[in-house]
Amino acid sequence: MAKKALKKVLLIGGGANDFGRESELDVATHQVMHTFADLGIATILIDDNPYSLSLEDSHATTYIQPITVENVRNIIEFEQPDAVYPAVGGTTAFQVLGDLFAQFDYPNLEILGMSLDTVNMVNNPALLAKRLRQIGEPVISSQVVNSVEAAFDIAREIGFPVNIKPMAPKFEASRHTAEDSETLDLVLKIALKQSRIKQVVISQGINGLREVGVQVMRDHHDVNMLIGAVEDMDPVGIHAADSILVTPVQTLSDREFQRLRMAAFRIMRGLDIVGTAHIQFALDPRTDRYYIIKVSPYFDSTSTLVSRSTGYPLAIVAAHVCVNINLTRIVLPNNFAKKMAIIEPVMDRIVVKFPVFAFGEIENAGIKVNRRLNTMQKSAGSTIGIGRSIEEALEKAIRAAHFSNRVFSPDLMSALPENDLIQQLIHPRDNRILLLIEALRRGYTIDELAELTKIDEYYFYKLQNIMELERAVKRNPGDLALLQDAKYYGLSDGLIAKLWNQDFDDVRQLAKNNDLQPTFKAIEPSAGEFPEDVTVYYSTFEQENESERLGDKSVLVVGTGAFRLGDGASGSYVTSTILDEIRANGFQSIIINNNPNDLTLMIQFADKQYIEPLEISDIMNVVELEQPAFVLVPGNRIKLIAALRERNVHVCVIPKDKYTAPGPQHDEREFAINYYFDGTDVHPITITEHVTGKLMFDKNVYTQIYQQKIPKLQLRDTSPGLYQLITNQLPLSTDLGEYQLRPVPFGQIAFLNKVTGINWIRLMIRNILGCQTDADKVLLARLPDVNFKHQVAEMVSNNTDFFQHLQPAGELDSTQFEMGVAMHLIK
Amino acid sequence: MSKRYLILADGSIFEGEGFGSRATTFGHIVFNTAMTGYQEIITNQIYHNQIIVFGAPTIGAGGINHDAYESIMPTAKGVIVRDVAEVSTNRQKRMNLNEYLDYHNIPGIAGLDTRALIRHLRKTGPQKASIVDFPDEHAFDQLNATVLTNQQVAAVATPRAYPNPGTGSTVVVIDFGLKHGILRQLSQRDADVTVLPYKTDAEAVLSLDPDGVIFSTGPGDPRDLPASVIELMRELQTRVPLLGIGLGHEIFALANNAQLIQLPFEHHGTNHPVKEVITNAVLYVPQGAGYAIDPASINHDQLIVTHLDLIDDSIQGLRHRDYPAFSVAFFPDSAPGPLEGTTVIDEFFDMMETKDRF
Repeated sequence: MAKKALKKVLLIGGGANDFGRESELDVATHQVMHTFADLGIATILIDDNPYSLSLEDSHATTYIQPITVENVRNIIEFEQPDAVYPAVGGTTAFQVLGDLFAQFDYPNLEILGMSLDTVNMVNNPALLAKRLRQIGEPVISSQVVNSVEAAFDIAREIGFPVNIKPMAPKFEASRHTAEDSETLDLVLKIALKQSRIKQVVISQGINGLREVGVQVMRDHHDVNMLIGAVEDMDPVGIHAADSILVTPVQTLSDREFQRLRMAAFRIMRGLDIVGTAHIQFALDPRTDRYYIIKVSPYFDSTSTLVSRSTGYPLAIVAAHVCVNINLTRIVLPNNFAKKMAIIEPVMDRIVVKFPVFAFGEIENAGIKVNRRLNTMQKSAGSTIGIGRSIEEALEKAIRAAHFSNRVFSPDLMSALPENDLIQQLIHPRDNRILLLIEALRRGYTIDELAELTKIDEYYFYKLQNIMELERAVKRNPGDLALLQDAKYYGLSDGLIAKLWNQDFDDVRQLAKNNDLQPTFKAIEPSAGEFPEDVTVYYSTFEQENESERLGDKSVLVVGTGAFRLGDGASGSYVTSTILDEIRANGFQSIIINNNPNDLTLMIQFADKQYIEPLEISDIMNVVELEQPAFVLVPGNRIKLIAALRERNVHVCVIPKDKYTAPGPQHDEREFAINYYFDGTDVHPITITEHVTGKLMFDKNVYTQIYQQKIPKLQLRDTSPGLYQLITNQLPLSTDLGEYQLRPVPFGQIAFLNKVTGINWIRLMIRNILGCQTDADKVLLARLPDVNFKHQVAEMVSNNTDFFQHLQPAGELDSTQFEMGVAMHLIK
Repeated sequence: MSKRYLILADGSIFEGEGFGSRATTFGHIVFNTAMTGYQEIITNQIYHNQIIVFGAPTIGAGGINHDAYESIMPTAKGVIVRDVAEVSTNRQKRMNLNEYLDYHNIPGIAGLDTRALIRHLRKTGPQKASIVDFPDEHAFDQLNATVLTNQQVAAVATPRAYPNPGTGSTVVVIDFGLKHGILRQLSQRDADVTVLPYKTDAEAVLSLDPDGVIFSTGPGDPRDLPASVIELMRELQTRVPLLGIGLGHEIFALANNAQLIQLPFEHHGTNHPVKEVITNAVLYVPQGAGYAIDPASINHDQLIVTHLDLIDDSIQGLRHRDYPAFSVAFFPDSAPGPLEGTTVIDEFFDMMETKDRF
C-alpha cells in the first residue's frame, strides 16, 4: 500500500524545451500524475512550458509559473504538500530543490525517491564522485578547480585529453573535451561561465571508450531490476544524444553485461535511490575496466527510449515504487500482463535511435555552423527505427529522421576527396553513417575502420550488408529475390523505386503481387512468452502479422516525427491533443510516429500506435491494413498529402505551414490577427504581438482597440483550424488584397489554448469529424466577444546557448530556430 | 547459405536460411528469451538433444570466446535465430558462431520468424522438431518415427573422475552434465574439487572426506536415472553439507519423497523474479527447466520451500529440515545471466564452514 500519510505531492516540471530536453519529462509527468490519481494522491504541478500537456490535465492543480526557488517556496507554503517528486523535472527540478533545501528547512516535506544528499550529489559531480568511490565504483580521476591557471596545472599533470564539466551548472551542461591547451583555454571559459559557483571539474579524457547506458528500477525493499540497456554505436567523445543508440546491447559479452548490471544495482543502493535511474558507463574493452560517467535518477530521453523499446511502463511503475509500493504488488493497467511490473523486460526486436540535426536548415538561412560532433549536444531531435535486424532498424531510423530515402543514395558521397574522408572518419560529423558506407565502398577494411573510428566491427559488417544489398538491388531491376531481401532489411519502396528507376507504385504492385506484405509485430516486454493485450506495433517482413484492423470508425493521425529547430515539442502537444479529442468523439484513434520522446506514443492517448517512419510507403502500409475513415496529416507534408489523395485516401489536413517562418527582426514588431476557420466562415479570435524572442497577448489593449477594425476574411478550399494574418502595422489598411492568411504555428496554438482557456485544437477536431456541439457553435458565433481565462500573457524564447552547441557564424532567429519557450501569465 | 526448414511434430513448417552444419537433426524444441550469453546457452548440456530457439533477434556478435564455454562438447541439436552476426576472428574470438556450429555438427537456421515460432510454441507446448532440407512427408515420417533417448545424462556426464585442485574447502561434484559455471564458482572460492561420475556410490564420495557435495545440473527427466542416484542423495544428505542444482534439485526433491510435474510452459531465460521466501528478497536468475516440483507432494516435516518463481509460482528452492542440505532449480552460477543468484554458492560455503555444528 502507498504510504498512509501521503495525500499531496508536488511535481516540479522541467521548464522550457532545450537541447537535450524534448517532451520526455511531460510524458513522465503525465503518467505519474495519472498513477497518483489512481492511488488517491493529489498532485500539484509547476511548469511554464506552454507545450506541456500535463499543465492542462484535470488530474492536477497546476501553476503556470517559472520554476524558481521563490515560486516553488510559495506553492509549498500555500498548498502544504506532503512530498515533492523531482524525477519528472530533470536537472531543473534538482537545482531548484537543492537550492530550496539549502535555504529553508522543511521537516514535513519528504523528497520522493531519494534523500537530499542524493539530490545534492546529482547537482554536484564532485560529491557524486566521492560517494561512488566510497562504495567502490570506479570514476575517472578528477579535481575541482576555480581558475584557468589551476586547471592548466592539473592538465599538465594528468595529460591531454582532459574533460571539463561545470559545477552546479545553470542548466543541463555537458562535458567539454580539450585535446590541447588552446581548446582547454576556450572550454574553461565556457564552463566557468556556465557554473553558478564559478568552479569546474577537470578530469582525465576517456574518448574512444565504449559507452553503455542502463536503466534500472529499485523499490524500497531493495528489489532491483534491469529495465533495459542501450549501447552507443559511437565511442565516448560524441554526446550520447548525437550518437546512434542501439538497444538491446549488441556487442557486450554476457560477463561484461552482468558486471554493469551489478554495478548499477550497487549504485542504486549506495545512493539509496527508489524509483528509476539511468546510469552511463564507459567501457575500456582492452583493459576490461569500466568507469561511471553519469547517474541520472530522473526521467530523460534514455528512459523514454527504453520504455518505448521494451514496452515496459517505466513511469507508471516508478510512480508506484516512489510511494513505497513494492514492485511485487503493483497492479498495472489492463493492457499489461498481470505481473509485468516485476519481470525484467526482454526484447525480440532491435531499436536504433538516430539523431536529427538542424545544420541544413540553419545553413539554408545563410549561417555557417560547426558540424563536427563532440561532447556538446548538437542534435535537435531524434527518431527511432524498429526492426528485427540492425540493418532494418537502422534503415528505418534514418528514413524516419529524414522523411525520405535521399540519404541512403549510394552516389551521394563519391566526390569526397580521400583526405577529407579520413579526416571525417577521425572527427565524425552528422553524416557519418554515409561516410562509413562510403569508406567501405572505397575498399577500406573493416579492421582498419574499426581502429580509426573506435566503432565496433560488428556494425561495419552490418553497414557492409546494407551497401552490398543496395548495390545488388541497383544492378538487378525487377529481381524478386532481391526485392524480398531489400524488404527484409528495411529498404523502402521509395528507395527501391529510385534504385530501379521505376515508379513507386510499380514497386509496390510487384511486391504485392508476390505476396511481399508487411507484417506488424507487437512491442511487448516478454519477447512472446506471455500473451498481452498490446496496442503498439512496428512493421517488418516476416511470416506472422499480429495487428488486426481496429474497425470502421478509426482515424489515423500522422505524427510530426523528430523535433526540429523551430518546430519541436509543440507538434507533440498538438498531435496528442488531437488523438485525445478523436477518442472523445467516439472514434478510435491510431497514431503513426517515430519520436521516442513524443507524447503521442504514450499508450494512453490512442487505441493503437505504430512506431514507423513517416514516408508514403510506411503510411500506406498502415492505411491498407486499418482502412481508417480519415487520415489526419499535418499541412507541411504537402507531397505526402498529394500522394495519399492520389491513392484515394480520405485525407484531412491539420493546417500547418511547410516551413517555420522567421520572426520579426530586432527593431521590428509584428501583429497577428488570429482567426478560427470552421470550414465556411472565418471567426476572429484575438490579436497577438510579436517582437524578437517574445509573443505577447493583452486582451484589453488589442481586442478592444482594434476590434472594430478586424477585417472579416474569406477562406476557401482549406481545412478548418487556426489561421493568422500577419501585419507590421495596426490598424490595417482597408485594402486587404495584399494580405494572406497563414496557418497559426503549432506553438502559438498551444499558447492560445492556455491563455484563452479554450482548446482550439479540440474545436478543430470536432469540426473535422463533424461532431461540433451546440456550445461550439455558440462560441464561434460570439467570437471575438468571449471571455478568456487570462487577459495578459507572454511567451518568451528560451535562452538557448546556441553558441555553446552549434557555434553558428551569425545570430539565429529565435522564432525560426526556436529550441523552446516559456510562458508567463501576467493577468 | 541455402533454404532449410524447421518442422514441428504438430505439422508446422518454418523456413529460413541454413548456417552452421548441414546435418539433418531431431530434438525437442525449446525457446530461450535471454538477450546475452548465446555461447553459454548453446554449450549448456541441459540442451542435449534440444533445438534451441533464441528470442533475441541477433546473436553471434561476440564470436566464440575461450572463457564462455559451459561444456567442452556441445550436444544441442540445433540453433534457431532471426539473425547471426558476422565477426572477424582474433585472439579473443577464435571462431565465429557459424564456424563453431559447423565444427560441432550442429545445424542452425537464421532468417526465420522466431517471434511467430515462439508464439506458436507457447500455444502448442513442448514437442519434437527437426531441421531438414525439404519439409516433405518423408521428413515428417522420420520426425514422427524418431525416438529420442531418455538416457541423456549418460550421454553427457563424465564417465570418470577428475580433479580441479584448490587449497580451500574440499568439494565433490556429482556430474550429471554440469555447467562449467559451477566449477568456475568453486574455483573463485578456491575450493579443492573432485568431479565424480553420477554412478559413484556414497562410500567413494565419503572416502574423499568432502566438506560438501554438489549434485550438478544436467539434461532430461531425473526419473529416467538409475535408482542408485536417489539412494546416493539419501545417503549423502545425512552425512555432508549438500547442494543440488537444476537436475540435482529435482533429485533432491525425489529423494525426499516429493513428486515432479511437467511444466506446461518451460521457462528458459534470465528474467523471472524469484523470491527468497525467508527474506522476501527478489533475485533474477537463469532458468531452464522442463519439470517442477508438485507443491502438493511436499512433506513439510521434511522439506522447506525456500524460493518461489513469482511468475508461474513454481518451487525454485528447497531445504531439508533435519540435514544441512538444500537445492535450487535455477542456475546460481550465472553464465549466462544475472549474478545475484551466486549468493546460493556463498550459502553453501557458509554451510561447509559451519558443518561441525550440525
